[in-house]
Amino acid sequence: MKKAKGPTGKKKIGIARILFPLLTLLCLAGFIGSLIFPNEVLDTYKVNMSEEEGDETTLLPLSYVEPISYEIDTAGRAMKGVQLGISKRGQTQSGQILHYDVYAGGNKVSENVYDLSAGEDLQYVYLPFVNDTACSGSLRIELKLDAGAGELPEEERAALEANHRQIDGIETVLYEGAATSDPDAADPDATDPDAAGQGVPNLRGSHIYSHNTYPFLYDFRILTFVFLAVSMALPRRERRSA
Amino acid sequence: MIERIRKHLEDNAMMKKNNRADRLPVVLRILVSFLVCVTTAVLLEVALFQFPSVTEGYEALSYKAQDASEEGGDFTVRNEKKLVRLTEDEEESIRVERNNKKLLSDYLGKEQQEEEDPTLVEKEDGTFWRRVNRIVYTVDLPSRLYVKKLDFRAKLKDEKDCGYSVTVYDKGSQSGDVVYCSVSAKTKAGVANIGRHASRLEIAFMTAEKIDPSGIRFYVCNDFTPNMMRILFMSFLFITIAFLVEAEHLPEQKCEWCFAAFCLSLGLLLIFGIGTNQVSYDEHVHARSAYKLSFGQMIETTESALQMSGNLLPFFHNPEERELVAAYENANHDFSWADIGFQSRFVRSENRVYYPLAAGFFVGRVLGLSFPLTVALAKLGNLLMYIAVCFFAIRAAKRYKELVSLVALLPGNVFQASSISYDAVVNGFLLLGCVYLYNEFLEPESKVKPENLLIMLLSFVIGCQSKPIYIIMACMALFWSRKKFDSTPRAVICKIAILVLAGLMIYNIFRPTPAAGSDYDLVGNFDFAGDKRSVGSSVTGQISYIFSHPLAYTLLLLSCMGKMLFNYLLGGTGFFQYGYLGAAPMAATWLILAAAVFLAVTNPPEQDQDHRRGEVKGHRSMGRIHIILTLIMTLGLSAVIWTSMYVSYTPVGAAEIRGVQGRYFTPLFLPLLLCLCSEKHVFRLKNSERNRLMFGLITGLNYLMILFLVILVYDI
Repeated sequence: MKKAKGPTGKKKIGIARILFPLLTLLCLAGFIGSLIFPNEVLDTYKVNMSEEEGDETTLLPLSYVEPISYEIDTAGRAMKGVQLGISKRGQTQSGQILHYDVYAGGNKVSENVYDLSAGEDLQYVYLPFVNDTACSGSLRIELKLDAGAGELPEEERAALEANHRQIDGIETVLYEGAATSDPDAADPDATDPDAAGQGVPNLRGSHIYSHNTYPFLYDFRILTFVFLAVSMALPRRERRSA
Repeated sequence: MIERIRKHLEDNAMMKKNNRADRLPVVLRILVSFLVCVTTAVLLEVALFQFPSVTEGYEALSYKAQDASEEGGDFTVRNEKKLVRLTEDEEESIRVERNNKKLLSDYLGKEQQEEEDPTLVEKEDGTFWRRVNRIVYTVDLPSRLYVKKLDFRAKLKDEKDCGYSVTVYDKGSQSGDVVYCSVSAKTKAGVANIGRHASRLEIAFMTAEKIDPSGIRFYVCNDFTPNMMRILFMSFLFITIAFLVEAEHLPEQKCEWCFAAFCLSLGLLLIFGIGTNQVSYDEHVHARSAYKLSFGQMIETTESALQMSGNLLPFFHNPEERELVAAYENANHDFSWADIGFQSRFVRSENRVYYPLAAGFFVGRVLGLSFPLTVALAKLGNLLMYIAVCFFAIRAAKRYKELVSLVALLPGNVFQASSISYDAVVNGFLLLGCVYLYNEFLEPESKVKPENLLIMLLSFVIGCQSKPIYIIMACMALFWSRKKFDSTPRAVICKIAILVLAGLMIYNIFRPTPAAGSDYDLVGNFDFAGDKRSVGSSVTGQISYIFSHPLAYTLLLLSCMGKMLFNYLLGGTGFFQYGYLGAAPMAATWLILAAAVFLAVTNPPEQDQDHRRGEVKGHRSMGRIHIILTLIMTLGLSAVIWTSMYVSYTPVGAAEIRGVQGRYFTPLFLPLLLCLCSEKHVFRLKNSERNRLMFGLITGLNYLMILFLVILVYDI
């Protein structure tokens, strides 16, 4: 048997009259909040990291004078940093500082340092860029050492990991006379530049970008309109007669 | 007045007393019926299927391949070389794999390197063949024996399955057809159902690898092994028949409870009958997502779970193989050497449809259940969710409960609910949403209740999370009468809100919100969008093709729609499918269609009386305008479904639309059937009889499909 709508039913409608518009507003606030305060996450794009049969890893020692340049095109996206393989060559590298400055369109847009004594040997170190929003387009990253704590002999200096695989849009420019652990690496007579162990060396690592995520945006925007629609179906408040 | 109330209370008290008195015999009757049904099932199993084992039983005969002689005798062997053509599915999978490798190489900017398979031969006409060794063993049995099963064991080194055939000879000539069976590289065994008398057996084993004869042995047996799956099937069948015969009014009065009982029994048969065989549409893809969802941020993937995600689990074809497969899966379901992975703690909206399945995986893991039981529990989670949602849909349906029950029990829907698939969520919630939507059309004068609107919208939102295209159905609410709202501005705002809601869900198809972590590049890059199972598909390419050839595409769309309709209604294609297991014949389509139309067109007299008493408000059919709008909606949505498959699954510019299946249109059945409801036609058949007829027909079809597509395939 159906229960007659008594005071309890009226009370429920009264609560619903407050609840649904309130939920609509809360979801709307959540939607706007999600849009304004997104969650930034890093994207890692591995470059030249896959190893295939015949690949040979080369170490490029860093210099105190001439930089090793790493040229990239970011296709308009702002780059957050790079992750490069750095070998400490069995040394503590105490007091050795790596300078890595970023140039966009010929202008220095980011000046950064990294203390080489930190971290383990042969680690892929994340090198973040200061002023990363300006690091987009054709970039040149120049890497060299700071001799603040005294120069180390070449065989003890930190080196960057590379192989000889050519990747479109990415180039590693060595300073003149840069020694490599593989004397055949820069073979000018190489016929197939893509072949492992031939052609100019190319750094191994990852390019780090970022993008915004909006974890609750979808739910809030959908629920806003669900609750708005339901709010419109609530019975109108009865006017009290005079 | 007081006298009337007192009399009413006395009557009620008397009825309660009588009911209590009747209850005991009813419970006893149910118990006795149940026992009779189960006993009959057991007796039938023994009499029909185990009779030769009882009368002609013998100890299993064991043969070792190394004992076979090449010269002659009772057990001989001969070796042959052969070129065997691969099946169409195997050929297609090689093509798809090659194309995907090419796409990946292009994406990574690398040169494609093809792996060489020395046993594979690609002929000039594009067909694929494999070089195989054929080893033929001929066994003269000690006497004329009834061979029930042949259990073949081979220690294979490769990870590729092999096959063997058995030719049975009785009284000097070949008896029956040649029996084919595969030997799984994982379980290293294959059991063939022979089921006939034999005096000699010729077993031809085919393999691409070189086999050491000491690793091959086979057993000829006729053991007494009652088939539990068959007993369960017969028990459920007899209980269903007994229920429909005995319980006269329950199918009418408790329609939703009857649905729940029937759906649960059919679902359980499907879950336990199919086991871990992956036979549903893209089951491995859904299994991967559901399995991952059952974990938090750290995922522990066992070898068996990994194989389930890659559609690599071994198949079984009889209870003996099922045991071998279960042993293999359990041995590889060890979390102490599981693969560790990580995922975002935030679950994307389209993955939330896997929660019912994930709950089953979670419970199975926590309870430390075996792998097959964990998978069964995951499927059970899906089934229970589907039953619960449809239960409320049937209960909410005003005067078309039997139509909703019929749609909810359609073989395809029951199968999807009992497998690892999100379609149970889609079908269940869309049915619930449709019921609430069309209830309002049948009561155009009464106001829409906020709680009903909330349930309707949430049902559509949940049902459309993985397939947002169906949200178009919710747009029918835009045609609700103005009288359903307190004022015109409220009606307008409400309808605008529903329209925006639908628009936002469709917008998310094209621009998915980056919700968490990785795959940003793929989410935002249309060039790589498109279904990678189909060679040559590209979303951007196909959209630009449609816009450059609008007339050609329109003609293609209409012809494809017409062809599919023709195939299902007249062309011999079965509509009611159990995934990759097969379909019911076309006659079943017509039978169920006729029943559905009959139920929709005729009006139950009892409900008519209820209507006159004012217990059921509103009309029995929709207004003409709403019928036309519903027909336009179903046609439009069908065209959108076809187009979505052309864009995402079909190669650019193809003169066909690939991948569209009949099951995509199941959510449109209820709106279409409601268009047929009529105020005029009255068929004087009792409501209880109508419902029993409907339940008998639809459960009967399901039982037949389970028998022919599951029991006789996997559990014989």
